Amino acid sequence: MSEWSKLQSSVSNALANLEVEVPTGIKLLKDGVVPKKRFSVYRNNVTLSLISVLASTYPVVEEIVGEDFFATMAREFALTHLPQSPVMINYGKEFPDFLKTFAPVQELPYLSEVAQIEWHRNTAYHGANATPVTIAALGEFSEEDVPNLEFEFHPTVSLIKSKYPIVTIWQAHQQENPSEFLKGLNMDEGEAALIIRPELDVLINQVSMGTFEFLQSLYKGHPFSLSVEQAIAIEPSFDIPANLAGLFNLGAVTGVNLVRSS
Amino acid sequence: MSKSTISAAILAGAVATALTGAAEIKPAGAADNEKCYGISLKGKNDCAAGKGTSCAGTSTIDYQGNAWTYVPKGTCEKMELPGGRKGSLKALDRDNG
Repeated sequence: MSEWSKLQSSVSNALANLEVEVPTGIKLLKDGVVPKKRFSVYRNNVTLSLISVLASTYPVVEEIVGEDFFATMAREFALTHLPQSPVMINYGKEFPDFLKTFAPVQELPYLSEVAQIEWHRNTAYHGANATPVTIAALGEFSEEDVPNLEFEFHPTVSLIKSKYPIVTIWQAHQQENPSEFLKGLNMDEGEAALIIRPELDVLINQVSMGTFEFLQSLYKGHPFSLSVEQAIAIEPSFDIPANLAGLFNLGAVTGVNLVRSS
Repeated sequence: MSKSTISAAILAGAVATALTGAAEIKPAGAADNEKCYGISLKGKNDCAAGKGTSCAGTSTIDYQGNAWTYVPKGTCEKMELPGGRKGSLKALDRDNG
């Protein structure tokens, strides 16, 4: 290992390890300046920037627990999850999982899944552009082919389901006064969403549980017929035409292909 | 693959219905192309710049691990969980070692 990479790893180790006062290899350059204090400034700036990145990716989580609490929690995360890449838009992927096990927020079991919406929103925002097909693409297939159609999804699409009303919670926090919107919210009612960025803005579309099954099945690459069956199994009134129209109108489908079943 | 319980005719009929209705609906995003450049990721169109984006320049480490005397002042207190559990958090005693 070169001197330079030794110094680098000693510094990065010291960033998260508060017991290390000054990384080995850091020398006192000037009289009267204590390296310990200087390094603390550096370490503090790194930590605060990471907290700030997390706060901008997870603004709803921050609003749910409050700024001070969020900063404290984000700091704990940052110290155990230093960036693995210089690209900060990818930082914080593990935050929802961290919330799942982080003892102080175990009384907020929905928090991790609200965070998941925010992460998907972040990845959709930075995801690749693609040109969707219109529903007319379905008109090119014959009746016997329709059951075996498979759908290609827009690269920014993601699906999320929770046993808590996470979409309503997220939406409430887009309002000026979230508390008003949260009044009387039934926390026992699960919700699902399709997240996509068809154009410039990320859309968080709440979907029914039947629609979620339908979409998830299609998304996994299962054929149209099986996906409809999955939806009807949990939602007998599942409206096939309305769901098809909704899906295509969102711009969520980029291709329809026929797969011959054996 | 097991035999489908839904007939091809029903599925094709549903597709036909969807196609018929489609004429009235704009194709995805067609009207959205004129959006201004106010591209926002954050929920409330707030500025991305904020604290932490400039040099904080202090050796005081904020948000110490022993700072769990913080009580969340967010909206979690408004969300009541099933079973009468309050959505608020308690300050946690932590080992600060």
